Amino acid sequence: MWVEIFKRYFAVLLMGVVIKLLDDEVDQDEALRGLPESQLLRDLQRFKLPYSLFFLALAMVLDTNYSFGLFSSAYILGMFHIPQQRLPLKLKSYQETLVVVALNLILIPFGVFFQSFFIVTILQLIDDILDEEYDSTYGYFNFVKRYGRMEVTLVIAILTVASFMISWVNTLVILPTGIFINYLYSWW
Amino acid sequence: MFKFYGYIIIICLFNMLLGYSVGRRIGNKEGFEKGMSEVPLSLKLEYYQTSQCPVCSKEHGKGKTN
Repeated sequence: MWVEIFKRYFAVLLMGVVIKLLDDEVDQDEALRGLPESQLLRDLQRFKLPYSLFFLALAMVLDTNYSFGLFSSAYILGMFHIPQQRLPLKLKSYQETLVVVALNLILIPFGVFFQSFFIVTILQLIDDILDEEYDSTYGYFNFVKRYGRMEVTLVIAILTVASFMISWVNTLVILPTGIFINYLYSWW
Repeated sequence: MFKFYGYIIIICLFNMLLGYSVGRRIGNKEGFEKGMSEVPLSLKLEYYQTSQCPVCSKEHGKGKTN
């Protein structure tokens, strides 16, 4: 039991790093913020594709279901606000979302998929609440600006209760890890 | 037992969410109407106090040639 929890924790940690790097790459944050000062971080920025692929492979070995569920949930949520846009694979964004959801429902258990989707949504909404000013300055999509702060807080509460109902151990493993990754990233 | 309480909490929170979101939409609409009905009054008040046109900020009587 403890070995499983440790493996899941480590897999979620690696997956969080991968998702953060992917988010940066898609948002083109580098162009806005510029390169970091230290040489080590600059090298890390240059070689982030091999590192993130390696982290992804390692996380998949450690915990297949949750890694896949978390990664595809982040993928779905990332293109949530552009449903009509054509993506490079000649599919519209909502069609690709449907394909990914169908793959999830076929490949991994229902509970795992729904729980990871809920948790990724919770983390995204918390991040939106904290980053409201930054996002509205730079013109990123933000749930708080569109739907209001109280609504977002209530949705966070609902999703937290739902994910506790699905499995409370996994919620207690994954949710603090995600918040920790967010904290680590903002500090870095 | 945990699941039972969970459903009850979720239903309560969902009702609150419904109330807040409907209220925000109604309130936005009402506030917009209120503001629109107050704009002419406040413009007129500003004009009477400063005798300056609120649109082109020209002072009263300055533009006439005679």
